[in-house]
Amino acid sequence: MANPFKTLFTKNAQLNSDQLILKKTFIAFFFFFVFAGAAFWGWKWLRSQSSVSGKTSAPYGKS
Amino acid sequence: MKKKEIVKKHPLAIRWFHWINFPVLGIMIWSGLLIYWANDVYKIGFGSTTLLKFFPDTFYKALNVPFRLSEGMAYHFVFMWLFFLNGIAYVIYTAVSGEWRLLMPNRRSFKEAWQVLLHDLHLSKTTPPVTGKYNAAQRIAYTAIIFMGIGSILTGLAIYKPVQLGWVCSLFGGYKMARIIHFALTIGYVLFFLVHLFQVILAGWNNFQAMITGFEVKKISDEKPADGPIN
Repeated sequence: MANPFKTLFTKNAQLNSDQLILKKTFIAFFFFFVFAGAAFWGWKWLRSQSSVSGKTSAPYGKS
Repeated sequence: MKKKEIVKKHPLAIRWFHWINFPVLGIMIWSGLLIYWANDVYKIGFGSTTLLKFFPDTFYKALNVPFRLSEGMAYHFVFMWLFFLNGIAYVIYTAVSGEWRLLMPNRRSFKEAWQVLLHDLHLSKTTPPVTGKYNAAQRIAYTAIIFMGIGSILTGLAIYKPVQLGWVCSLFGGYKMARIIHFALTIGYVLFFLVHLFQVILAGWNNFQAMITGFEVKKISDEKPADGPIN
């Protein structure tokens, strides 16, 4: 299997179909997991905020 | 010698709506269960005979449901906005982009959906026709799910504010009926999800990854290129 990092910054015109598919797949999955992770950890962070300050109430923050 | 080619399938907006809806609907069903536990009156049966109780105590205990009503309500009333806004955005997008043409069933769809069902259950060897992106069964299911979403929001509002939105409540035949419909629609989502998951597994990786990458990989022979290659 080809190394996706090798072709990640190569222009599309220089790639064959296999390399192009690999590149596009890698980029799509990368951003998918970045956004999914951001949503998950963002929610975890929000939930960890104390409600003592009176600014974050349940279910956003700890009740 | 076969070549691989990229064929566009799902636009970016559709993928966003789909992957936002997936966890949001999951949270709505889970938090709805926490609320439902406090007054779990529904069952399937006749007279004093109960065939299926929604839900048995073992089910609640296994999912750590009991005594979490307020938590369930808090989650439900937060995520309903996301569910509502995502649904509205999806409907507007499909209407404006013309995607609705690929989704709406036509007059042949119901007959063809039966062929799809028989084919998928391995009861028929006739390959059902696929016109456009979705087959007839998918068209019916994906259109029905939009109406189910509208139904869930309206019945949800009816049981959330039965006094202020009394007219919505009476539209569904009163509070009790609105609650039954809201519950039945939720069961419908769970069944839809199970069938959807099964179909995705059957269709394979190429189909699944298209909901993340937006494209499918088609194998074509050198002599006859496929229509619409997108590089």
